[in-house]
Amino acid sequence: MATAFAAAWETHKRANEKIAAMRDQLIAGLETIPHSRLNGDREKRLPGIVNFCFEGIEGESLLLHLDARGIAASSGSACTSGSLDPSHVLLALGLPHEVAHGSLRLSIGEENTPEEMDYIIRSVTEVVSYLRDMSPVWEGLERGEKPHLL
Amino acid sequence: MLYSEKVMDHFQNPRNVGKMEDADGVGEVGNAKCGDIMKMYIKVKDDIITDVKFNTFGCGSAIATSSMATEMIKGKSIDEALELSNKAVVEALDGLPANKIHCSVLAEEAVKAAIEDYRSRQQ
Ligand SMILES: [Zn+2]
Repeated sequence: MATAFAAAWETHKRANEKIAAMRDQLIAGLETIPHSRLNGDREKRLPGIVNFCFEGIEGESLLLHLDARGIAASSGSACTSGSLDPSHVLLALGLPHEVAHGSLRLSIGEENTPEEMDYIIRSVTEVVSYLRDMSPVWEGLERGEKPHLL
Repeated sequence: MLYSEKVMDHFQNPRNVGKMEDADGVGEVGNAKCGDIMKMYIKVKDDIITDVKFNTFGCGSAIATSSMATEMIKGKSIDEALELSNKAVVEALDGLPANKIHCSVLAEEAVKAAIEDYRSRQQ
């Protein structure tokens, strides 16, 4: 009995370690995207959840493009924090500032692989860059008309 | 999200996306509901819109309606382009979900804003 429990516990622990390693891989990859931000507390977070904000793009179009690449993501927590300056162009239009940033929530399970994490990192990087290229909000940020907030 | 095939096509492969350095008119509009922002550039010769480009920050409907609107006014006269309604854009896209209709209003407004800018430059 005690042995069976120990074996199950060991399996559970190994699964969690595997998920945590993939999560760290995903975070490290997504953090290389300029003007992005990891949401939430890095240490206390749930092992299989990664939550990011990307400045200058909209959330739904990010999710739709990822879906087309076979990546099921959901929108993450609103991209607001004390660090966000309220002087953004969207505020001038009467909008709350979280809509100025695409937020992304990815869940990792035991069945996922490190190769899949690489695929997700590559895809998110490409989609964010594509959407920024066609975003008038991003254009304003790059021209220095408004300060980058992330 | 339930988008028609046509909406998804224009979202995935938007027509006339880009910026225009030598535009004759530029219009930028935004809506508060979705947070969409659309910027439209037009090139005009002899009262005809010879080229159109757009940049959009926004949801799938915003990008698809921008793309469709540019297709619908390209080659048209200024007066014809001014008649473009968001309803016509939505119909051309085989419809939009009810809560996304306001995104198409933006496309109509962006066209009008670009034309208004063009006309103000003519005076
Ligand atoms: Zn919208």
